[in-house]
Amino acid sequence: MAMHENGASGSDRFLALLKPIERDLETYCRRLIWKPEEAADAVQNAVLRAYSAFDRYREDASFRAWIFKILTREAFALNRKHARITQHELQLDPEDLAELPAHNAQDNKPGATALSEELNDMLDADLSAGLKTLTDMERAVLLLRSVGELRYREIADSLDIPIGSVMGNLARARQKMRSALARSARRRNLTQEI
Amino acid sequence: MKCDEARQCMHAYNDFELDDKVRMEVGQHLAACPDCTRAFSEEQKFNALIKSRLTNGQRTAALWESIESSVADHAREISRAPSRSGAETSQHERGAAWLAALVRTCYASLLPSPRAWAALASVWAVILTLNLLSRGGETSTATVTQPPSVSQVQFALKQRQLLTAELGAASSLPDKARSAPPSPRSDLRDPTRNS
Repeated sequence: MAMHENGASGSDRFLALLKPIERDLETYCRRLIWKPEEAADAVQNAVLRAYSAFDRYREDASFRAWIFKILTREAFALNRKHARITQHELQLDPEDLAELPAHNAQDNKPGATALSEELNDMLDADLSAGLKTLTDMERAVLLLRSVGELRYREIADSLDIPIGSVMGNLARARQKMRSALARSARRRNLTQEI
Repeated sequence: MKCDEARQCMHAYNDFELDDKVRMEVGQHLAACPDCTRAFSEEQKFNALIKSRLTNGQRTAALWESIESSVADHAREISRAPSRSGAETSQHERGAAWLAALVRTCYASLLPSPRAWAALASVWAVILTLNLLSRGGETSTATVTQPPSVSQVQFALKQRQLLTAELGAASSLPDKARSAPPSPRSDLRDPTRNS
């Protein structure tokens, strides 16, 4: 499809593909980017960039993976621009693993997931703190898998890394998140409630 | 399969990213190993918790309305662009645009390839070398000139003597003969002569 042929029908097609994943794109960007106030601009820039390049999008490829890739590059560029570095790097502590929320048998009890709004906010704060312990690549791999729901091969293509690196980054990211959440839970003394 | 091998495949197993053969081997190990089964299950629960928290985001309606509006505006601009450019763009401009696109394409395709740059540099070096060699040949031809041989000098002197002799013979003829050479059978038309 030539660029000139995008026009109205091209934009209709583009928006039809975009609509179902708007929330995921925004959530992904807000988690990935260092400065939350720049997330909206990053999303807007990425979507317009994707529309400008829509003539190069192949119909047999995953639109979801394609636009997540463009958004990832936009977010990485902004992160690099501000040269933010992780400041709370945590080391995996075996003691923390014993206190993980997921290890609690209470997960299976009725009402265990019915968290109060306050607890939700605290968990979100812990989650954001946990994400900051990850490198850019680890965070992107974890988010592309969890929020983007991309396959390993699609993540590798999005980030231009081998599939083995995807697996390594994902394992490290999950391990760091375990450690960070366990520390937060211990600090808040909420392990039992979670 | 041993425990450490199975643990290495844990994330890929839980994410359904293993091929059938390896997945079956891991499954057989899990069926026989309660410790690994527990570890896999706990990891799966943790991943589900993380996923549920990470995906807990909002869609900002104002943001997406603005984005969709921008896309629609962009589409209108693009749909207007062909008729204007078709009517007003000169052939020269189209040629320049085509050339620019070609250069951009060549540059984009060469940029990530160090081998291509090395090949270009090699071609340039060969051209430079050939150019220098050809200039060197011209210089040597111009500077190395042989003096004339003795026989050539003698031949030239002989030619000069013959030419001088010819010129001397010509200068000794009478003025009348030199000024008006006799025409054939001029004596017959002489009116002063009686037979």
